[in-house]
Amino acid sequence: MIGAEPLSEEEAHTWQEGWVKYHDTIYEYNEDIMTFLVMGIDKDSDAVKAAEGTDGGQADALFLVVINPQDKSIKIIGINRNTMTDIDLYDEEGAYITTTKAQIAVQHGFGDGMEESCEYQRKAVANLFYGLPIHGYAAVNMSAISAINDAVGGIKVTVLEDMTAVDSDFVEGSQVHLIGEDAFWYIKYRDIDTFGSADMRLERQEQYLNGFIKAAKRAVKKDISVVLNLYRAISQQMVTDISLDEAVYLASIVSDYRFDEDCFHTLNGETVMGEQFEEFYPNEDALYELIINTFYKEINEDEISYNES
Amino acid sequence: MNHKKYLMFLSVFIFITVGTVGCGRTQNMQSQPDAQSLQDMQNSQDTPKESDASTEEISSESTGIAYETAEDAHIDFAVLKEENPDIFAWIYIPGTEIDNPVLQSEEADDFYEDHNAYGETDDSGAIYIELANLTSMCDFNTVLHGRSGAGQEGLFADLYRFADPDFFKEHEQIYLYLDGNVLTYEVFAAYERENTSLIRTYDFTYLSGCEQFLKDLYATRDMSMNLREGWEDVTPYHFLITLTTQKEENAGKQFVVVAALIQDAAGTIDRVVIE
Repeated sequence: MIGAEPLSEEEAHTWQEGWVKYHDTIYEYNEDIMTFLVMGIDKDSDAVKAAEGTDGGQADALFLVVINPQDKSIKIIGINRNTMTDIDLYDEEGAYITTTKAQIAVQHGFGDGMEESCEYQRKAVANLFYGLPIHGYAAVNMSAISAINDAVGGIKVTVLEDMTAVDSDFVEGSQVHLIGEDAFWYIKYRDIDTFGSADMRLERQEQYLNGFIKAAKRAVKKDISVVLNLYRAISQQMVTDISLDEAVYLASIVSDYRFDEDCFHTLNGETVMGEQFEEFYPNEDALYELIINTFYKEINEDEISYNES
Repeated sequence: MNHKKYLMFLSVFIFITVGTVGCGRTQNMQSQPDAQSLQDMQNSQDTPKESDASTEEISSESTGIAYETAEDAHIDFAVLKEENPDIFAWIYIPGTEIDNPVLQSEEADDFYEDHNAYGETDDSGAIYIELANLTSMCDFNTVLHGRSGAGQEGLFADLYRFADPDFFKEHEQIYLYLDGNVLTYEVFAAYERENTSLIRTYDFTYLSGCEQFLKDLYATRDMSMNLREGWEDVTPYHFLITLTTQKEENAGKQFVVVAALIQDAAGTIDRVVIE
């Protein structure tokens, strides 16, 4: 066959599948990165199989933990539970009905409350993040928070808002050392009558996780068996596809990784009142940029091959 | 031969070629074929070509599947159908190597997945549509399949060029030649989707199926998706083509280039939308 018109020099570079051009720079997904989805499930009991339908428990806390072996960093992305995105609806028999826009946290409510619900949630988060690979997940029932908190010796925080309604010590601006149930309430409390309360809770969760990761790194460096003990202690309240061996291995390699204030990110956006519930609409441009900055790496000029057409 | 003489020779050669092959004009394919070129094309099919030494030379090299090309804005369907009656169209995408016949098999939907345009067993396959689509191109969405092969090989390997935002921006048009018509489409979307059959996922014979396809297209979240400005409101009343291909190493995904009809030279494209 006679070929089509010759390509100009500009056209002739070989565009690779998966490349992304952003602000005149070409990027590609960083294959070395490992991304894990951590879900806090609104259940005060062990993780047990639920009937198909909507009893799987909502994912009130959603975080992506991003491990980058290249720059040896840990990054956390907090996802507002009210983020409006595509949610797959299933009937009581577990059959797919349709896909609709809804708060991302409700996705976990569908399915069996175990692996199935986690897979649904993983898919919803991956889709929100433009098809991001998520390498593993851990869904932890809120009832496990005390055990997790105490395993690393508790967490010190400065109370971000007045929460004396749940604990008289939780005065805004005061320093508290969270031990046992205090950690549970500090992370979980939300006044649903206050507009934007989910946003404020997310701030507390970020603050807590920030302190927790630093404390966990110290604890793991001191004695790696803390991971083993913790994993076993909460295994009844957790659903995960990360094995104990994998968890210990990951903890051992990331204990030296950098994690500081600028490693924490949340989605920018706006919370508005929907018909019944609050709805958070992420700023898509900011989300796209966050994905580029976190999960992609720049292609060097010499990696761009040119055809000699 | 000096430069001036060379130019004179070239001018005479082009004049003879254009005048006798019957395309009417050499055409920059970036511009759309107009009614005149269609008329010329039809004339070229209806009237016997003049017997001329230079014509014969050209004809022998430019007819038949292997040597046919839409670069000259002319496709000889009579000759192509002699080679293989399953050929019903010719696709040409300027700026790419895609300049090939389009086929439909009555034997099996995926017959041309592993048969070439001559109908011979060939892993390269051919560009084809399934039986659910009409060869008249009057469906809401006609899905054209082609293989990418390994690396840059394969008839539709060049589709991936549309993933490059600059290439996408600069290359708007796709030409589809039918026997007696030339259709011009404008590419408005290029993206990666799950590797599921579009024809089986959406019922394009109903309004609802068309709407769902468009809803899903616009809701696609793919980091490298390209969407042309001004094409945010495609409706079920448009006529689309979707070119689809897959990489063997990424079997879970398919890459699609979607284009909408912007010019129907012979005015044959029409349909009733069933609500």
